[in-house]
Amino acid sequence: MESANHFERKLSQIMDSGSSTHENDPVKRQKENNEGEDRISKLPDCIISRTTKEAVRTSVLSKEWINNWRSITSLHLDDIDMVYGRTKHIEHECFERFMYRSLLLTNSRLDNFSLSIHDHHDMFNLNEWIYGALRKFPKKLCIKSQRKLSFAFSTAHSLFTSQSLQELEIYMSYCYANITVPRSRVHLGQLKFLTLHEVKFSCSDKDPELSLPLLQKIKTVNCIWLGVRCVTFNVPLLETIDITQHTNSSWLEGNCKIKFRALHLKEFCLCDYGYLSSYLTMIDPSSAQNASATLILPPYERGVSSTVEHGALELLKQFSQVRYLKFGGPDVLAQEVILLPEFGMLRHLELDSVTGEFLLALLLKTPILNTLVVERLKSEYYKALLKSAVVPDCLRHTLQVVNFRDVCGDKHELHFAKFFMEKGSVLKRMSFSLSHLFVKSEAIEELEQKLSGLKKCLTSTIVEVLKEDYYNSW
Amino acid sequence: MSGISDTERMITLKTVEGTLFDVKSSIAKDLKTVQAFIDDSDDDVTSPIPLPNVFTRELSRILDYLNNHHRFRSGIEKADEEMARYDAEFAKSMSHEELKALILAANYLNVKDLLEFLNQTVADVIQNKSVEFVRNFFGIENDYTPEEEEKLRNENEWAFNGVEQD
Repeated sequence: MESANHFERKLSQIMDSGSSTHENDPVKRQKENNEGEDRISKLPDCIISRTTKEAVRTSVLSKEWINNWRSITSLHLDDIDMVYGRTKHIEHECFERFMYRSLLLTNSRLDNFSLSIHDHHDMFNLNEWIYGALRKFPKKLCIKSQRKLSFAFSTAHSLFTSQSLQELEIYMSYCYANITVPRSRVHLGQLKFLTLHEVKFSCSDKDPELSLPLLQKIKTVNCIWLGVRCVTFNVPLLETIDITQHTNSSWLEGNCKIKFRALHLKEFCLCDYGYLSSYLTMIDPSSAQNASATLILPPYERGVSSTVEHGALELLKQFSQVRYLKFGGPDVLAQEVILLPEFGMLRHLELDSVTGEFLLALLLKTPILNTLVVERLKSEYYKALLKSAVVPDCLRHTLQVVNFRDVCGDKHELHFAKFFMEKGSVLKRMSFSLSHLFVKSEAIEELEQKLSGLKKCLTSTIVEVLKEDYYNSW
Repeated sequence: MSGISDTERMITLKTVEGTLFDVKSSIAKDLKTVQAFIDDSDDDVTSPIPLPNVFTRELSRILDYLNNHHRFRSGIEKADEEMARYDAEFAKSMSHEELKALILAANYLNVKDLLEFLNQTVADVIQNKSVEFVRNFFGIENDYTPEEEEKLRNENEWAFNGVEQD
């Protein structure tokens, strides 16, 4: 920061001269023997680098301070006080004035700009503020709003061509932000982290391509692409994809494809209750090798469209080389399990709400599986199923850890436990976490007793019953 | 020069009051001003280094802070909690005057980490306090006329929402 460097230089001048007097320091020369001034000259950054409001307040300390606040490199503006203000109209004006002053009078460069909107503002003003902030080449931009936001052309253009932004966050609550993506190639040369909640993108280009060469992580919640056939993200360094869709957005025009050109994906997470209305594709299939993938779908309902089955299948085919897979609501693929690819590199598998049939069929496709976690196992015809079941390779050679969660001590759970214990040649540990509904300690003992009676293939297998940690990872 | 490991050497510092402090050279490294002096003298420092702007009380506190932080950093993992607790106690143990004096000393000796910590402590103290409080704290003379101050406050009205009244 400018002020801090200025004073540090002064000090080193003093040091170099080897004297302890203040001949070289004009500031100190001004007020001889005034200790107060000394302290101030060393503390501008500690006062100023607090909140924006406090920084601006320093202008009233004394005439010397009138402009010190202008060197702040972070602007954090929040209109929350306005919401509870006594006289709305006046508060409104004074907040707007403050915004404009902050943007006009501060440094030509900002590191960090954040804007938090709770109350209604003129859309023109909102755009001017965001545009104004972008013109200061911020490294980090964070916008939180409870009110609708529509980006004007110049704001959107400035945003999508920013060569300074490293982190961009837009969090909308209760409403959407509408952003039109400029038609020409979008290039955010420095962007590393992108977080978007409830943003609606539209584009006059049917197949926009976004170039984000340094992007490491993208996280979106309920974002929609309108009027677009296929969005391509050119993201060679992308490591993490995290997409959540809470609502069923299939009522929107058509389905949109989203493609990622990433080379070394490490983590993929899709939580889609919206019935997979947009197709996610990894352009380079080998990019997800050794990665971890999490797919959470809504519980299977009869009559769900075949696009969901198809979508889930296509997705899993792309992640067939992952090392770690977490799959919630897998029953949607109950009819398609034969079509699933072989997960040749999968070591860790977690399934939530799965039928015994699906589980056994899937295990035939995971030859080197080491760890299996199953939450809420369901099964109707388990006796017949288990009697005729083919013992999967992984159970014979590689499966070392099995964990059943949300266990109720039902018969089918015990039969499956028996199956794993009898056939698990290398099973080191088999654990059962009781559903949090079972608070009685007798339940643990009861289950332990039942389990101890079961024959073990590997005598050293540890069998344990645990009380469920209520806040588990799902 | 060579053959003697850095951590074994002791440096002697002399405060304004003439008190002598023996400091390990690994700690002295954090006192950048002192380190610069040592580097300039070609490592040949036998007599005590005078610190004409530093009082015993301050140097003692600074060394205490540095010694403890070195200990926390070189120790086992849990040190983060302990360090936070130490820092909180350290900050609380000083009056505002002592805090200011320590900042001056830390600044003179150029102890970067301690300075950042102290700056943060001061920032916490003055957070949301009235302008008059801040002036008193830093010994700033108000050279605005009441009219000028009123005008300036009005221009930045938003900044003065929710502040302690003078």
